[in-house]
Formats: sequence, C-alpha cells, structure tokens
Amino acid sequence: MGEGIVAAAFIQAFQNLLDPGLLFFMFLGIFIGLAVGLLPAIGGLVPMAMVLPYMFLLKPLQGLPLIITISAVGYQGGSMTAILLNIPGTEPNAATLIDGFPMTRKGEAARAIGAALVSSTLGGFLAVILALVMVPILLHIVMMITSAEMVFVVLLGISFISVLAERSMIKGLISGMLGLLISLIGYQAVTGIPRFTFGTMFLYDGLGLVPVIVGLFAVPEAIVLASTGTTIAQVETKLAGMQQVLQGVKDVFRHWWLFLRSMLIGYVVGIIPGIGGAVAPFVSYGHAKTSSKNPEKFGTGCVEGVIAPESANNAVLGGSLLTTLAIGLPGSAGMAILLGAFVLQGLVPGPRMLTDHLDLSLTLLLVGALTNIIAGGICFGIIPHISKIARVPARILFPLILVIALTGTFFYRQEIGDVVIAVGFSLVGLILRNFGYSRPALLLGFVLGTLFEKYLFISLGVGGPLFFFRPISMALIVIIISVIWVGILQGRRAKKA
Amino acid sequence: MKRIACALCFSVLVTAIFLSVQGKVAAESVADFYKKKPVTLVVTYGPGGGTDTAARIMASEWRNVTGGRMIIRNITGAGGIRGMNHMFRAKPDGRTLGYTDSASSLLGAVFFETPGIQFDARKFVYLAINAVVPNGIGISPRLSANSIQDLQKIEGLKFGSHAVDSQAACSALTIEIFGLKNARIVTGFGGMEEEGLALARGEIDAYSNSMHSMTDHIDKKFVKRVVLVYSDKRSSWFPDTPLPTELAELTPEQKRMFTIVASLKSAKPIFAPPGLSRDKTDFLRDAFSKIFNAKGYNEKMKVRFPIMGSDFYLSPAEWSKTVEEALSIPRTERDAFINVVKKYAM
Amino acid sequence: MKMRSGSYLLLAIIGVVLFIFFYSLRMAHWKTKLLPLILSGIIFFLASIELGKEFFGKKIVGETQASEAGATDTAATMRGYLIAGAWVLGFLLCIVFMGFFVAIPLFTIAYMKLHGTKWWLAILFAACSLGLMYLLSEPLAGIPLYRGILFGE
Repeated sequence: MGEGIVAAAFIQAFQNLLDPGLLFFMFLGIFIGLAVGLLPAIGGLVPMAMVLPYMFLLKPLQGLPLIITISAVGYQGGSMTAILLNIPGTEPNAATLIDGFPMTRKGEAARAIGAALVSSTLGGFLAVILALVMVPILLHIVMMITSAEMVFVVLLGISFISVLAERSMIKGLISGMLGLLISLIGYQAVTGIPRFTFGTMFLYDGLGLVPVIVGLFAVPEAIVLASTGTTIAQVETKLAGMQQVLQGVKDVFRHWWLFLRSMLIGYVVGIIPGIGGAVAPFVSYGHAKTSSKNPEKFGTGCVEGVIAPESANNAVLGGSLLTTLAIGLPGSAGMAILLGAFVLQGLVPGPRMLTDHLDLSLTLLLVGALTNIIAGGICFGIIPHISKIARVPARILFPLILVIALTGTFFYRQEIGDVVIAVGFSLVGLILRNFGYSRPALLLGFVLGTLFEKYLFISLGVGGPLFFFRPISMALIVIIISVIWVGILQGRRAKKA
Repeated sequence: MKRIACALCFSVLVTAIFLSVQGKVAAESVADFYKKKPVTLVVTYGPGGGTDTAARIMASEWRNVTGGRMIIRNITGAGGIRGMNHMFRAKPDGRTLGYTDSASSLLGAVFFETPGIQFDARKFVYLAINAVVPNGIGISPRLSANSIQDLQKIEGLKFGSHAVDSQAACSALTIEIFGLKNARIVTGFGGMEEEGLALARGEIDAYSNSMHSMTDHIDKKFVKRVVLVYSDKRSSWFPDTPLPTELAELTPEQKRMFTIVASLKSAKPIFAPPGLSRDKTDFLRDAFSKIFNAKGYNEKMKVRFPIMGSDFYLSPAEWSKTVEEALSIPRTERDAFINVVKKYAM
Repeated sequence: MKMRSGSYLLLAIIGVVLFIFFYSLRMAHWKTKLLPLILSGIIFFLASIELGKEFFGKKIVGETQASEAGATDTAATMRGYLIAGAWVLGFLLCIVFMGFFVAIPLFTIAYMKLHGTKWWLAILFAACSLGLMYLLSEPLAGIPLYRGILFGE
C-alpha cells in the first residue's frame, strides 16, 4: 500500500476525531462504560450488548466509537471495585485486587486507584499506538502461534499460580489445581461427553465465570465486612484524597520499566486470538513479583502489584482490537459483540478493513487510544470521592454490595441457578479466605483449565505426542520452568525470613 | 319479580353485545395486535454472531412491515439448547418467537442426542426459513491438493471440527465415501473462526462448514477451495464444485448416511412455541415473507452473508417435513452413523 | 497430635478429590478422564503433604491460620460470619421465592433498619437500588428480572 494512501488515511482519521457526532458518542460510551463498569458483576459484556440494538440507527462513525469506548473503559471502572471492595468488576481485574485491596485497608485507596488509572490509561494508549505500527506484521505473528504454542502460553499462565501463593506455596497450588478441576465441569467438546453435570442441563456449560467471581470475592468480602460491622478502610491516613492520587501517579513513572514490560505482555496476549483477556494481568503480576527485589511485599499492599496487572489490562484491548479489525477474529466475547456491531453497520472486519476502509480502521484505533486518556481524566476527578466508599459503614455497604452482585450474577445468563451457585460458592470463598488459600489462584486455574485441555487435545490430534518440538514451544517451556523455579526459591527465602 | 326479570334481560343483552364486540375486535386485531405489542425474537446464540446479526437485520425491517417493534433476546447455553427448551415452554401468544441454527441446536442436537433436550422439534410452529445453506468440504491453502481426487492420494489427512456434531458427520462421511487413508477428525476447536485459522496455518488440512462461512474464509484466504458440496444439487455459488454422489458410487449404507448429512444442513428457521393460533401463524408467515423480499433487508444481509438467493429454499411446510423425516430415521441407523463419526473423531 | 481446623479442611479436600478420582475412572473415554485423574491426583498429593506438615511439621513462629487480611479465627468472628451468612441465605431465598422486585427492597430495608439506619434512609437506598437494577435490566438490556417461584409465570 502506498505511503501516500496511508498518510491520507491518517489525516482523514484525525479529521474524523474532530467530528462532533463522533465525540458525542465517544463521551456517551465513556459514561456508560464507567458507570456500569463500576458495578461489580454487571460490567463487561452487559453494556456492550445493551447498545447493540441501536447500531442500525447510527452511522459507522457514531455507533462503532460508542461500542469501542464502552469496551475500553470497562476495565477502568472494574479496577476501582477491585481495589475498593475486593470485587473484580471484570475477570481481568481479579489480579488487581491481590494488592489493590490491601492498599485500601491500609488507607491508601486513592493511591492504588491513581496508580491503576494511570497504568491502564497509558497502557491502553500505548498499546493502540503499537497496534498501528504493527499492522503490516500482525498476520505473520498470528500465523506463527499455533495450538501447540497456545498450550504453553496457557501453561505459562497456570505456572503463575505458584507465584500467586502467599505464605504457603502448597496451599496456593492446591487452590490453583482446584480451580482447574472445577473448570472441567460441563460438556467436553473434544469428546461430546458431559463431565460432573450429574444429568443436569444447568451444568452443561459448566460453572459461569461471573457466579464464580461473585462467590469467591464479592459475597465473602461482604460477609466479612458485615461481621466486623465497621468500614473497609482499617487505617486512617493523613494524606488528602488528591495528594494520594498524585502519589499513585508518580508511582507509575517511578516504575516505568515495569509498566512498559507489563504493557507489552498485555499487548502480545491481546493479539493472539483464543486466549481471552484474563491471562495477561495474571502473567504480568506474576512477572512483576518474580522480577522484584522485594517479592515478599507482594500481596500485602504493594503498588507494583497494582501497576503490573492494570498496565496489561487495557493493553490487551489494543492488541485484540487490531486482530478483530484486521483479521476478523474476535479474541473474546466482547470482541465478538464488536464484530457483530461492525456487521450491523454494513462492514465486515477482515483484511479489507485495512485496504478499503483504512481511514475508518485508523479512526477506531485512535478512538480507542483517546478514550483511555479521556476516561482516565474523568476518573481522576472522581477518585477522591469514589475512594470514600472505603469509609461507608457496613450496614449500608453490605446490602448494596449483595444487591448489585447477585442481580449482576442473574444478568450473566438469566439463570437463577447462577445466583444459587454464587451464594454456594461464597462458602468456598470464605473458607479459602480464612485458611490462607489463594482465591486469585483458584480463579486463574478456573479461567485457564478448559483452555489448556482444549489446546492440549487439539495439539495432540494435530501433531501427535511430540507436538511441542517447535522453537516457540520449547522457548515457552524454558520460561515456564524458570517461573516455577523462581517461585520455589522465593518461597524458601520468604520462609527463612 | 319484574325487577329481577329486567335485570336478567339487561345482563343478557350486555353480555351479548360484549361478546359480539369481542368477536369483531378479534377478527381485526391480529395486525393491530402486532402493531401495538412488541414481539420478542429469542436467539439461541450470543450477541454478535451470525445468527444474532441476521436476527437484528430482520428486527430492523419488522417495523416497516408490521408497524410494531421486535426485541432481540439472547438465551444462550448448551449449544443453543437452552434457548430451544425455553421456546418449547413459552406461551403460544404470538409474542415470543424463536430463531436458531438447525444444524447445531435443532436437528443436530436431537440427532446426536445432546443431553438436556426438553423440546420436540416436530411440535414447533415453523414460520419461515431465512437461509438454507448446505455444508461442504474446504481445504487448506497449504495443501497441494485441489480436488477430492487429489485428497485421495494423501495419507493421514486431518479434518477439523468443533465437536462430534453435524460438521464432523460431514467430514466422517467424506472419509468413508472416498476411502481417505488414515484420515482423522481433530475436535475441540472453538468455532469456525478457529478452524479457519487452523486451516490457514496448516494445522488441519480440511474441514466441513456451511457454504456461506466458507466464502468468508475464502475471502480471508483461510480456505483455498471448496471441493465438495453436501446436497442433492449443485450450488450456483460454487458451480464447479461436485456433489459426492457425482464422484462415487455410494453403498446403500453410505446413501442413507448421505441423506442424513444433507438433512443436517444449516438452516435458520424462525418458529413459534407449539399451539400458536392459525390466524397469528398466517400473519407471521406473511410478515416474514415480506421482510425477506424487502430491499433494505436484502442489502443488509448481503454485507454479512454474501451468498444469498434461492438456490436452496424451503417453505415452512417443507421444513416441517424435513424435520419429520430427519427425526424418523430408525434408531439403529442413527447409532450406526454416530459410531462412524466417533470412529474418526475420538 | 491435635487436629487444627485447617487439618479438617485438608481432610475434606482429600475426601472430595478421592471421590472425583474414583468417579472419573468410570468415565467413558480416556480424553474425558485424563485431566480429572491427573488433577485430583496432584491435589491429593499436595493436600497429603500439607496435612503431614500440619501434624508433624515444626510450628513456625508467628504462623497462624490467618485469612488473607490477617484476621484470626475467633469464636466472635465465626459468629459474625454465621449471622452475615444467614442474611445472605435469607436474601437468596427471598429472590428464589419472591423474585428480585420483592427481595431487593425487603432485604435492604430489613438489614439497614435492624442495624440502626433511619427509616427514610433505608427506604431511599432500597428504592435507589431497585430502581437502578430495574433500569439496567428491563428497559436498557432487555433482560426481564426474575419474578420468583410465587409470582413468576
């Protein structure tokens, strides 16, 4: 493609950004995405599905920016509930709460949110810029990553279970393995045989992610809060809200190299179709802990533990947006909805988007970048107020959390059984919490279990038992072994200390 | 006494007037009914997919045809069976309609005895079929073959499939009919996009998919060409692509399997719960017929589903007959066929 | 050798995974049973080691069966959990039998009022939460809220 054409497309894209209609719908999308994203269990796909029926009424430069902005800012709203309430707003935010919530308990909620917002804003922004640069080589990268490599990418994510363990690595591994086991409930596509469904239709698709998250985190935290009868924040802090926020901002720039590495991890995971957004923040968190000089501080309220996953979160979107636009391959359910939105607008994502509709593609990528900045700016204004949730008494917060979490669980599949599962699972969550078993490790295992099995059997079917004799697969195996080894060494050092 | 008699007469008169007015209202009200009350179209798959997109395109034309509103509701799960079960239990008041893909959630699910089915596909009231697309076999661009005869020379071919389902059935029959040596079916792919990518990478050599998905994949260079069409006649979209029956002499058993596979083609029926009244059924059939002929509808459908046309068309009555025939296949034949599929897939 | 509550949990985990292990052995196809067998075996092995450490390992100074937040497992804490858990269960039963429209205001008002909130504040919170949930569900997302066994169709 001629450089002149590309330049002209860029100029048109920047001009499109000044269109008042586009800006209106972009702001509307930011408002919807943030408002709904702040509600635990309801964020994620629900706001995107809400606006899908209106695609017909809108032009491409109105409807598509609307849905892209909703998708982009969902994680930012979700990170706030993860930090303030220990409830991930979307599954990728689950890694943020490991250190985010302890920071809130220490009275540093605003600092954590400030760090999270800057990380996700800049991470998303830079990822989109990287996406624009990588357009010519994207397809080559996607073609290189086969099912064999996917086995080890997922296994790499699983290996970080050992890193998520706190004082006892064995307990962390037990949690993670339990998560893997629970993920096997349901219909196995490879054989067509349902497992552990006990003849019920309800378990045919397995346990839903939202009921598991609500059961593991939202309800137990609400119960603990109600049992104390106080507030989430246990410590008074002298710093005023905005000062704390600025401290969080500075933290990101102080740890700029960690931020860049985490952003890259998120971006790379995002461009690989078929992994989903939940892996990247955990891998980033695990990487941050294993590469830190003070790994024992992770899990106690360490700001790096917030910067790493949040940098990866929104970076995933930049990568997956490019794959969806340029190849027509949605990497997640959210991208599948976006793909549907394109079609309803009369466009078919795929290679033609980068030839026949290059200016529109560039406009949408730039919208993704700009959204992160604007949403970040809006959030900064509200952080000092939002962080006061940590001081709301239990008698008000407990019922509100439960109402939102359990109603949101119902939204997921419109099955009352999911609400029952969430409450039942909350017993598991409470027990794990009380006995020092890592709930994020269980969640990670749950998210990755079926992915691992699927790619394993596909790889065995395609390449036989020696499917892993490939350069990228072997490199990933080495990295996995290193991660596990470092995790063991860090565990031993922590025990000696 | 007189007062009681007057009161009784008055009551009878009022009742008679009321009933006659109701009768009159009922006769005029079907069109008004749909103008005033929104209709919910239950789509048995998630938002953004092909079935959902087609549903939303239909919904956008509904107002032009009826003056009323159509709301899309996605009830997903168990490969579409949850939505089908919901539709079977729904009230036949004409306000809840269903839309699905027959190969996976209707015929395919019943045929492969997916657990949890609580509906009888024969009892739904079929209103329209907005796409009938046969399956075919597509091959990878990394394969040196260009035809089924070329495939016969290659040993150890790998076909891709989501699960042990109608797709896998097509692939299994191809292996059986053409004696593809040591060929197998690799299951577990997450959907046609994953299979397309696997084809492009050369992880698998071929797959079975609906013809309109394959045109999309040909466009994206995931599929080199379509080498077979599973139908009783050639398709105008791929006029050079033969049918299995043109290339090989099928054994009686293979002929029966071919009939089954051809009936498991991808069709997208719009249907109502059992017991829908005759007048509403007629109205809805007419409405959907108008939608399918509307210019706006066809323009929007062409974007996402470039294979349009009446190559393979079925009326609701013909579709009901297809369902009846497919589900009347004797158990022994069905089991034998499923065993053939499992032989290559598991 | 005193059994701590963590040991009972480990025994429960061992019991569950043994059940899964033997249940999986009966599964039809090797691909179906492979991962359940491996995972239940690994968990059994790990839980046994941890149980062994609980019984025979040296007690590490300062180690407690702490929750992630560091709270200790006291009778008062357990009582607090049980009471809050009972409220959660009650809310769930309300939802199942009476649906969200009744359960949300009923639960919100009952909890807040019984914990000292003023009437008007409790009613306000109940109305706002119900209003928000309704707005998000039926008009905006087109998802009808569950009406409950008693009031549903």
